[in-house]
Amino acid sequence: MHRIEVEAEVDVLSMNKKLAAENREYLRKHGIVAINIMGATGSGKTLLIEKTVDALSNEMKIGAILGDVICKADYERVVKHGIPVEAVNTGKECHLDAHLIHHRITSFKDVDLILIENVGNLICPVDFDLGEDYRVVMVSVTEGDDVVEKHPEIFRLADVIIINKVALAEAVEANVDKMEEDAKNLNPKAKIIRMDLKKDIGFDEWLDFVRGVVRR
Amino acid sequence: MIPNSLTGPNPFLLKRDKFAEKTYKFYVVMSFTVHEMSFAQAIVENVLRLAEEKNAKKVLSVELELGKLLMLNPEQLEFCFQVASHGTILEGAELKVDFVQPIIECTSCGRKYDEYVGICDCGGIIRVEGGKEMIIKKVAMEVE
Repeated sequence: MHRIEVEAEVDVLSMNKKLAAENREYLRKHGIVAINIMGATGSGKTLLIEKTVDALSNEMKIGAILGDVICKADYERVVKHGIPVEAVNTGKECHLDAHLIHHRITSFKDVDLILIENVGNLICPVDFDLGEDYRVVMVSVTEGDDVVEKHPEIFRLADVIIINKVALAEAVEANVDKMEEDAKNLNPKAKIIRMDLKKDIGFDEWLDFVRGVVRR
Repeated sequence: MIPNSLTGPNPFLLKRDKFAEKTYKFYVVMSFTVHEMSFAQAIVENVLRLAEEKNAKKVLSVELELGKLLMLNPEQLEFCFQVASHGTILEGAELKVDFVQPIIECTSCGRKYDEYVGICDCGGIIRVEGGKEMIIKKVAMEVE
């Protein structure tokens, strides 16, 4: 027996990067735009997808991929809206990765837009590129107005930052201006939308964003 | 040290059948943080592949370059590495972590920062490069 030292230079994340590139290429080839929606449990991701589908189904063909650790509750909600939906149960994983959604993505051919709901948390999904075109991070004022500054990485890499449930801000003593300021400081390029899905605040601004990015 | 509840054979790595994989994943998720676990499993799988290529009998140490912006907790990663490597030729191997700092720099005035900020004091936009790496640099192993 003897000891050897191998110069490995193995990129541990290379497999995800490679599959994400394949997903991106598939989407590009089929003219599909994919939006990865990330945010904590209860921030409003599923409702955003449901309302977006209802509002835009007559303008574009939409598909959805719904990631959850366990159960199909979100899937059952969205599938009622009459669009193709794929559910992904991640089991132990706290995020979707390019491999988990690879087969789901390739099952959609005849759609213009795929809305991907990531697993509900603000930490793990950030380092796993899915091959998406846009990253949306959704937080709600009920998570506390320091939620943005506590999770810099996910906000830094977002294209759109949605602050949801603003109508509840007073009741939960959350300072929405502070949340927006924190988001701007972390990511001056991101589009920031103040929203309350139940009161239809900011929803039109979101729809304009979606219309703007979908190649028709 | 690995807690007693986890010292059984690691069926995920010994026997690659679906049921064993699920059972192992379940008892892992019940025990501790999951984020570091995904990375630890990926490290173990990559090193095992390398060790197989070299016909190694045992892996002694793994040197890892880790980007700061992955924001992984090194103690948790080390712990998950112990669990993920249990029952394999990596069991007991040392995990040496070298952190890589990202370049965080103002695109207007060139000022460099240690921690991430979105906007520079001068009002300029900040550029970030690197800090997301996870590279297995060197692996020490015993061969015949």
